[in-house]
Amino acid sequence: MDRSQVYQIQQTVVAIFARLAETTPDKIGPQDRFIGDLGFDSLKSMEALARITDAFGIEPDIERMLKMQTVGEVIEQLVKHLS
Amino acid sequence: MDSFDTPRRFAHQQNLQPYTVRAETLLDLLSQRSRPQREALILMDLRNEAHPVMAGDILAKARKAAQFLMAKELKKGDTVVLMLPTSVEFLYLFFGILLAGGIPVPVSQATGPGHQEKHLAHVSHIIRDCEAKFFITYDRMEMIVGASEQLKPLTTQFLFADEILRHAAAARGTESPPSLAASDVALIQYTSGTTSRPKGVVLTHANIIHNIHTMGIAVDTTPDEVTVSWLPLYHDMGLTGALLTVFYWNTMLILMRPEAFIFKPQWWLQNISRFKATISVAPNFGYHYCLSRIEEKELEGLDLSSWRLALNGAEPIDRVTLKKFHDRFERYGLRSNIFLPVYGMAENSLAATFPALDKPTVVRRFHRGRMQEELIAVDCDSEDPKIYIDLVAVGHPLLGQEVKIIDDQGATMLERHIGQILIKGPSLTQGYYKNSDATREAIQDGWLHTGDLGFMLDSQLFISGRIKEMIIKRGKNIYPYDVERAATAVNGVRLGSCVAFAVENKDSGTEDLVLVCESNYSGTEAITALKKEIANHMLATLGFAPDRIVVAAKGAVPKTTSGKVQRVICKKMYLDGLFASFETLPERMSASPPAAAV
Repeated sequence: MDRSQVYQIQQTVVAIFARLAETTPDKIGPQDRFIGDLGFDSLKSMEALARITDAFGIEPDIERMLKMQTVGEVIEQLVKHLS
Repeated sequence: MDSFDTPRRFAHQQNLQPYTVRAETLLDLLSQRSRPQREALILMDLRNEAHPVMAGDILAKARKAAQFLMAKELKKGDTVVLMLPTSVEFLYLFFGILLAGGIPVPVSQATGPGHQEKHLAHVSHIIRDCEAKFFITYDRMEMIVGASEQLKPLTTQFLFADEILRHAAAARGTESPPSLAASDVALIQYTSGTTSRPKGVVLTHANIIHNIHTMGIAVDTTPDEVTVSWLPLYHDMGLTGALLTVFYWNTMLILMRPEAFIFKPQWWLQNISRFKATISVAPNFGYHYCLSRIEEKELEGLDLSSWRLALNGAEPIDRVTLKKFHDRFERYGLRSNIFLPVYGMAENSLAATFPALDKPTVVRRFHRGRMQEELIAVDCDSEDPKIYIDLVAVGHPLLGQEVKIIDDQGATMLERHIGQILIKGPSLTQGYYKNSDATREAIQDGWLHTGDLGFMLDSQLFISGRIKEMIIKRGKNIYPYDVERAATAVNGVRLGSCVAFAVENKDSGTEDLVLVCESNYSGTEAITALKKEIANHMLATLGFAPDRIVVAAKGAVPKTTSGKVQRVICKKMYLDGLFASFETLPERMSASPPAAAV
């Protein structure tokens, strides 16, 4: 996977988080935790992950996704999964 | 238009027709159930594959688990905190604990990508508060670093569900289980705690059975009823509303995991279609979530025509969501008039009011300003949403129950007047576990003081808000959410970390509006500028500004384990001076709006 593809993934993920957090993408960083930093509750965190897997057309491994905590982790997993 | 042309009625409803329940204890539900050898429920896994569970299997495994627990010195009346996902293990152990004479105390597991620390603090609080002798969880807990070390010292027995079931299968129990009576405690249900620390609601077998009996009567349940539920079993809506009700009425349950619904909301509708379900329950957000998340292409072949009742509870009910849901899914056979907005609370076992089935959804339009300023529900025919507010009725008290509305002095009010909602009846708890102060505050003369604001109209109950969170500002009743939402829109304010509440101002005799919000900004100058910006933004959008703004560091605002802000606790922290260090400046804001905003 080249850098522009990674960048694309980042953009998409951040856009989804930003929309759910009712903010702009520039306010969201990879170290942000869904609950601690984005103001999500646990349901909204799951919704974000669900929307992301939908956006990439991935069948979610729900058990595994429930362990993720930060925006960066999601991007990292997606890059691995899609390469 | 005179809305008072009808005779004035007092806001007090009773439903005191006779009825007879058909079980003494929750264990009867299982033994009555397991006689016919058919499945008690179908459990859907995280791939939405069906796993039938036989009632006889639950009873057999529960008996083994009970033997194991008794061998571990579980005595009658011991509390057992149970932290398991929606699974067969939950069923085996819930009934196993009851069989052994224990009292199950279900708690949420750390679902969702979340705050492990916060969740651990929550579970620790419950273990201590209910004096749990046993703590039973799933093996994944071991993977959460430090979790078992933190929890183990709090109980005598820290057990994993799979271990219990493995050892129990091999064990040959000889001890005879204690006998249970209807008046024995069957469950301690912890409240979610958005207004205080979680409190343990003590419920007897008789409380719960009364509630599930009368809910079944209210929905006119028949033996061919099929329920689909994705609500968690640690929550009263999932455990009492779905599982225990279905067991009692000998009907069929399709049990989904909540995570499955969040990831694939279409599975909910597909399961209703596939199993020809007749009844399903969700909070308002569940219906809304389907609208925003499900795509048309995922609905091919869907047939929702079997669905006769869609119960809606636990959250404020939004009529627009219900209408949109109906319009969207009508083409898949969804019947009209299936929404049943209901009202209840853990203190009343679960349900308090249900609408009549011949008129399930009653929506009335009221004058917003008069409701806010005079606390009275006056009919309104405006089409301007700034002027009107639409409210959905939540119906009448269930069999054997009473509901009334009282004013500050405790007097029963007239219909249309907003006051505190009180509930009474056989479903009602005797109180919170070993918390006589909280019990005395909540239950007086057999009446539960719900802390919810509402009114009655044409003998139906309408809910209008929470007393403890209501802010009165210049004669207007303001809901904190509106203030918090406005503040969050300002750059520099951390998302989902704003709390608004009112504090008494003894000098002026009125209430001050306080806003506490988190920010990553530091330095006097930046924070002063931020406060100014928040005040200006609120004046422009809401027409008023907070009297005091506290800008605190990240993590200062108290939140529940699921991440919701705790307004009442935050207010207490503020009054206790815990935010004093953030208030180095006298930043009392001008309360009068600028000319442009008037």
